Amino acid sequence: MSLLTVANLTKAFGGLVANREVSFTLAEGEILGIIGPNGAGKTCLFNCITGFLQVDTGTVHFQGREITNQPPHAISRSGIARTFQLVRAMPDMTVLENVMIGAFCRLEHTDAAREKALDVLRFTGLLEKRDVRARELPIAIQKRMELARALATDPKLLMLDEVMSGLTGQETAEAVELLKRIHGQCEITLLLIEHVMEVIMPLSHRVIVLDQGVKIAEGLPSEIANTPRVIEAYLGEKYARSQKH
Amino acid sequence: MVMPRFLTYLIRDVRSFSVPARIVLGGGLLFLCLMPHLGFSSFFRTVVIQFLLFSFLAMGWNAIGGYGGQIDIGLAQFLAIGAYTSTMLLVWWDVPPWFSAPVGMLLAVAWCVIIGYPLFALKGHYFAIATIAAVLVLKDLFSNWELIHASRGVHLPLKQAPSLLYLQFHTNIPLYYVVLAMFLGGLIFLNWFRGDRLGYQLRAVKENDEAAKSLGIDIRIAKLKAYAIAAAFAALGGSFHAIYTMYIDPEAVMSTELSMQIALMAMLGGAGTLWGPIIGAAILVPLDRFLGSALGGSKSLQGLDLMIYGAIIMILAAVEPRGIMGILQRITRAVRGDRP
Repeated sequence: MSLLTVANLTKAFGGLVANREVSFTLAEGEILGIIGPNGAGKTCLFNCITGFLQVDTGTVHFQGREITNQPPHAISRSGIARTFQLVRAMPDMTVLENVMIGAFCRLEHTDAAREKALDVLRFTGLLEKRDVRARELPIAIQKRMELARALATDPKLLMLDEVMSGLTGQETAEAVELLKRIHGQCEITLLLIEHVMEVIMPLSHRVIVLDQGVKIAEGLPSEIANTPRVIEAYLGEKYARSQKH
Repeated sequence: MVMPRFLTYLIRDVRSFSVPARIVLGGGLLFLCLMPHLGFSSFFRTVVIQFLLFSFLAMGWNAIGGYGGQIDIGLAQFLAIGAYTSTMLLVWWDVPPWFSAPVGMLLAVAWCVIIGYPLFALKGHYFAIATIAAVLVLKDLFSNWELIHASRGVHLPLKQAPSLLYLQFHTNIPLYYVVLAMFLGGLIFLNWFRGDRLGYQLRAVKENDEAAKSLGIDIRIAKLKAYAIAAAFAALGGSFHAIYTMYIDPEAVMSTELSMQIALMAMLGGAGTLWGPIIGAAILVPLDRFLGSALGGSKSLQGLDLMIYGAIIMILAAVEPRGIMGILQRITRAVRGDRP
């Protein structure tokens, strides 16, 4: 059964069409990657699905229910959690408090939220940082904290916007490991935007390619990597043609 | 299930205090409880009553302005609603303040929902300006409303004999204990509020509203709840003010200066901290009294208090936006050797 269905989603800013007639489905338990060059409309698509932007036309269904253009908090409560391309921490709150805010999405009582947050911090390997204020953390840890915070909302679907960007090789490997555990142990479906091909290809079950707001390809990672239109979008027309000769 | 949690938070937090903090707080509480019987002058008692009342009002402001991060410069409108409700119900139907004060709180909360819904579409400075505008409109309305005696103001009818029911006495000692109870009740309430779900969510909204939305927080509802708390505090303070002074008019209960004073006390002490409003009131109320008695007579110095408030705002903005509590935190961190 499909968990998320996006149908003919179009979003324009004035004359600039950021997403044109984008459609895809995401099955429960899947890991779907969205790739594309800068300005392809990946983050815009995320913002449309999560209610941060209003779509012009098209629909979004989650677990069979239409959620198109619902406010972000309602979409979050229905079970879709997200992270941001640029980390949005609560800078003066501690790591524990940041994650507790996520836990309060489902829990009424402070003690229950604290317990839940501690569990998530243990799972994500952030337990020893719990009393550090978010502003004092390096970006890599802030990103992981944001992931933990999203996880604390008990989502069915986790949408991660370039969660690996700016990480070192070692940190990236740790993050990939964590995503695998989130998918495997927590049984959470993942939708990833990623710029780094080396990360998304081995991790994703399926990949969608966006270019200039349009979905130009969809398939297994191994297929996508060899599609001429994708190579063209990433590396330019000239390069693609020279490769053919 | 609210009451038990009030108490668990209180007991837990008192246990977490260090010994010196317990001595200071215990001593302060003992002093406040015994103060009327320690032979201080009536003037001193008046100043302490003002301090307790303004602490209470600033605590209410702190819910929306401190924890919620929405700088409200129109809290006096709710104070006025409380004051006028208690006064007019007494004038018209002889309703005792014990009953009229809760009615005033309800009316203030209703009014805050009406204006809060459009106001919370605004952010930052725009919100602050809109709150000033709202109170100016209401003040004009009250000043021209014959039914409530317009700008002439209203005297509260005096009872023949002292009455606990109407809170009218020969001395201000009983009223001192009324406002002390409000002060302590407000402190216990806010201590619960800041540790509860709403308190956490408001801090999240203040620090990053986009992130807060993504974590399931309905920002407008969270702010409205905090605003309702502030409105209820202000209305109760207003009812007390009316009973205490026995005369109210629109200028006295809803001037922009009054709204500013309340906000400034919380900000000077430390917005978004439990003790900030109390520290701020402890400094500004005596200062205001001193300026009033030392300079009040001379017309040429009118407005000096406003200049001093302005200077405080500038110093705060430049040196430590988190107020005196922020400075204290810096000192404790430095002493403990933490990173700033």
